[in-house]
Amino acid sequence: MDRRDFLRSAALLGLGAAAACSGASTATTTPTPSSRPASSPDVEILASAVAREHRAAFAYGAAVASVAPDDPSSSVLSRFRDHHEAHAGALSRALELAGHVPPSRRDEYDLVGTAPLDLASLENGLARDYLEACGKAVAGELAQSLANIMAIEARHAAVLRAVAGQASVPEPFLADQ
Amino acid sequence: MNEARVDDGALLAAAVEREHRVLFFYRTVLGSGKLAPASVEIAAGLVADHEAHRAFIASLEGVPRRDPLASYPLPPSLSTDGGILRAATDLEEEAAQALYGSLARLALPPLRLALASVLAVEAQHVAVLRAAQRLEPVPHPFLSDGLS
Repeated sequence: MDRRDFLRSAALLGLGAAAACSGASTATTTPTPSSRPASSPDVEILASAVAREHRAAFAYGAAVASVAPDDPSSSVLSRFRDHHEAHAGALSRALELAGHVPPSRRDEYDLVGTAPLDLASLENGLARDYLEACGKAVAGELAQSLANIMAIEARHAAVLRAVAGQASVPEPFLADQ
Repeated sequence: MNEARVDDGALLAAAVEREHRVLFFYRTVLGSGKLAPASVEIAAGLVADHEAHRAFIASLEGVPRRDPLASYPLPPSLSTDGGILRAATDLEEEAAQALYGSLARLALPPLRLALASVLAVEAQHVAVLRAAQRLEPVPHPFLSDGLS
């Protein structure tokens, strides 16, 4: 599934709900503000995920700003920041396609810290949030789309734990990490 | 039996079979003497994870019991530490992508949750193996982007 498929699959929930309300064919229904479905669990999952990605991108921005540009960690931190911005963008676009306004990025967020272990903890929390959402998603395609991001957050956590001198993969199941 | 449950059982059985295959690979390469000490440590940790994954998936309701084969086809180029790490990376990525592909097809949400929990760690395995090869551990923002 490429990025376009991600957007289509995440938008299925909006299109499907709109079609159900109007009785129209899913293939020809285009979400408009007037046909926007009522908030559903899947929409709430997407909106929460957008907000978390914005916060994560902010955290990495702060981390990048805290190290010298030629610091070996700078490129990793920048890359992970870019990943979170991509996640926020894709999730936001999926919400828009479903006729909803995504949460906007704030100017400031409360952060525990920007050291590797702090960021590892942030990533681990993100991954576990996505895991929980996978189990709650009504649409199987949405669960898959969320796992598409969850896997990357889990990878980020593993890398950062290694940077901090800890075991990259401390437990065989994400729920126990 | 409900058709959806039969399909879920088949998907989970395929996941168990992939774990059998990956474990056979690791046990073979660990016994080959070709791995550097650091790679042995990595591989041993991954074996433990896969054993847990296999047991967990096989325990899920509706999974047909299927014992591992005596042997599985091995990738080529396993005569050096670098070749083994590359092959391991490919196998782990293949497993992660297969789990990912299964998620939309599973009918029961609790089964999606179960496989997603395994998927996350097998995705981490890829990052660990890439880092061991001095490669960018997480090159792309989405699992579906692959590694290239």
